[in-house]
Amino acid sequence: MATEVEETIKRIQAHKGVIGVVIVNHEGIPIKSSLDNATSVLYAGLIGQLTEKAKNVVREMDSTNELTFLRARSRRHEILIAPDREFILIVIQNTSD
Amino acid sequence: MSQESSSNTSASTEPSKASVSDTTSRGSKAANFMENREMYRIVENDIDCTPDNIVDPDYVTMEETFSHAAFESRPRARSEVFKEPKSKSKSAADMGMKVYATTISLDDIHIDHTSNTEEGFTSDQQDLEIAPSAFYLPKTKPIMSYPPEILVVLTETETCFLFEMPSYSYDKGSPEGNTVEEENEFYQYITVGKGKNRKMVTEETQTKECVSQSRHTLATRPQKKNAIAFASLWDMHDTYARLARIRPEEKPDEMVMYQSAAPTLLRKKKVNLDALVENNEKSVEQILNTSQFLDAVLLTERVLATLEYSDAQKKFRGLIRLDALSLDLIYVYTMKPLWTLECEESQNRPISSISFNSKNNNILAVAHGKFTYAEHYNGLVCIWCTKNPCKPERIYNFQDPLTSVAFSEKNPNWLACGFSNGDVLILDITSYSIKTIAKSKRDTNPCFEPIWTASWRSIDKDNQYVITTCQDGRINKFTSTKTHDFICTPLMRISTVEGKMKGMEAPRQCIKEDVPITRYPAALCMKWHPKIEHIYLVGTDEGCIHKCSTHYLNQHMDVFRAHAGPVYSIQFSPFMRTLLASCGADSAIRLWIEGIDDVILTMMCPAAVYDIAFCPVNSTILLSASGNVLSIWDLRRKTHMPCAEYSFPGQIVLTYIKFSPSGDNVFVGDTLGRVHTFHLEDTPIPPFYQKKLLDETIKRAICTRPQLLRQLEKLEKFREKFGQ
Repeated sequence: MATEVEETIKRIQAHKGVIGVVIVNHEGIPIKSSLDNATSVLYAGLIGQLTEKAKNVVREMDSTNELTFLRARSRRHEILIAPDREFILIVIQNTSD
Repeated sequence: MSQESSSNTSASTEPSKASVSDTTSRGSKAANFMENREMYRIVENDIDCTPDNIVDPDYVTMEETFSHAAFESRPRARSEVFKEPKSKSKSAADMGMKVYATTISLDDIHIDHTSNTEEGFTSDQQDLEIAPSAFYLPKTKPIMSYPPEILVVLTETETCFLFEMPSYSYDKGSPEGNTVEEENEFYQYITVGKGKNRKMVTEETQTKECVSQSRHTLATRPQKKNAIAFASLWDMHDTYARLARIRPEEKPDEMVMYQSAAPTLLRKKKVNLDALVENNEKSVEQILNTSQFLDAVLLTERVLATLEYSDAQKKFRGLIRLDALSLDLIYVYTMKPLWTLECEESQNRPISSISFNSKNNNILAVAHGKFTYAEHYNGLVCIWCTKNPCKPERIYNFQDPLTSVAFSEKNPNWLACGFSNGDVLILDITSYSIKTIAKSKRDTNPCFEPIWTASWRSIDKDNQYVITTCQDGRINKFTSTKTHDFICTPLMRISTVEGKMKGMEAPRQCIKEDVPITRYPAALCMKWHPKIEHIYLVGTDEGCIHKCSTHYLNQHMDVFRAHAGPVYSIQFSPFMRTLLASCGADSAIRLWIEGIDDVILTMMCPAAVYDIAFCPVNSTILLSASGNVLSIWDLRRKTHMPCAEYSFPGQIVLTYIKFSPSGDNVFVGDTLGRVHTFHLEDTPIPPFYQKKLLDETIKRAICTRPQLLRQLEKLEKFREKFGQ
């Protein structure tokens, strides 16, 4: 069971351009990460706040809708965020080839 | 100003000068211009209203020099302190004060409450951890120049007492003096005067001895931090909704009663709501094994795959348009490879069937079974999405090899699977693990041989059933009932045709041995008639195509011999409903027109043809998969050979070929378990009158057979007249 999870995360990491994967639990603590602790905590805190706001936006627009995926693209990286009630999956990838 | 214009004209009359010097001189001219302008003042009605420079010189460095007002520490002028500061740490006052620039302290007394008394030197680093006060005054810009007049307002502040010594004497006659006199008199009266004789009782009292002990404690300063918490209206709504759902379930367990117990023991079981909420403290593995996590991973992988395949995806979705008016079009029918759907589970496992989802044609189900008789493979169904060519989104493993899959139209998440041991299964692909909606049972399903095709058909608005054809010639109809049974009812059974048949000329069979091996040939492919609802065509492994109807359960309506070997596929042309193409193991593709018994056109391929596909946007283009060669036939150009041929490397056999609805992309499945996706380019532009072109092409193809041509014309007239 655990190995399947590990495998999934390894598979995501093996994709071209992926810099790191962070999985954050509902308290905002990173439970699994491929980056160092300081960066993970930083990402967890900041992205948690962003996700809250984004969830609110979607919900306010249409109450039957909910946020499933969020992409924040910047000049050097792209952050892919998949939020859920229990966890937030964060993947950071390079944009330029 | 005039000087300026003359210099300008002088510059324009000398264009031969080097351009670099020209621009620099122009630049310097511009600077001079601004300076010149500064000299001039605009005075109107004795008021100087020259406009200021648009760009403030400070603007450039504004970003760097600006610092938040709260963090700026302005040194304050120390005044003489008359009074001892209340805090014990006088020495602390000497350290850098961490009171913010915008706060005002009375008396200029440096009382350092914010310094950490247990630590020594407060380093700058500490600043970042202590949160700034949430309330601050916005910083005003520093004064650039002093105004000519400054208004100063003097107000009286609160009186602050520096020294107070109450007096013991009062003036006689003043109100204070009078009250003092009265008090004195009263005091005289009760102590020395008549008031002395009041009743008095002596009592003993005891005061409790209070034992005290002085202790020292050290309390660490609690670290404080400013943090944001955010709750929207919908968060609250969701929480209440969730609580409402949890609460009613607790109700049944309210009273806990003991049999022979005192009433005091009769108590309500404490509804520990906190425990319910806290139960969500799941472990890492628990969180990561839920299907929500897998869904999130799925979405993420799709996005990640677009990075790698972005060009291919753009071509696939048709975002790059071909310019129909460009002058260098060559019709070479190139197939540009986009990607290959393969993964390690599906490697080397032959593809037996592919089905596209009716609702979302980006989703396809690939069934892996076995290709030759001697192979032993387990069955595998992979569900792929074209948005993620790296990994299938669902993988289902089965014991027996699969032979056919079909998506349902009504319920797009249902997939009917036919196995090589005769089982038929309906799979729900929304779940990550195998979830069967219905499974055929031995008591109603007599087939034990491979199910070659499965397709869905709907009777009316609500019901739908699965029709399967089997190796033993049976055509069965499966319906799923309310009791979740999957009942099989036979539709018909194909039987061997003896004697001479219409259709193609076949070599005469040897009639020495009268007893046939099997009376029922295998039904290898099935196609529903595009116009008439109850008619379907079945191709057998004897090479005959039977035209059957759901109204007649025992017999076929018509039969003709199409190939000298098994018929592998039958396809109708999307533009001409009466045109039928069939392909078979005798390496031939034959075109037939409904109503005419002779074959219209035969196209020969290098090896057994497993599948053909008509192009949905171009009426004369036809693709065929035979051996490891993919051939592109364009009937309007030549019919004796394909217009383009592509060979695949290796000893593979292509088993499946299909166009996407847009007509530009082709999916090819092979025996190594791979599904290749190609983009078809450099084809002739689709004609406007597609059917007309197809008609002309066919007529041209049979121009050497005038009787057939006449027959075809008659048939057309008949059809037109009677609107068939």
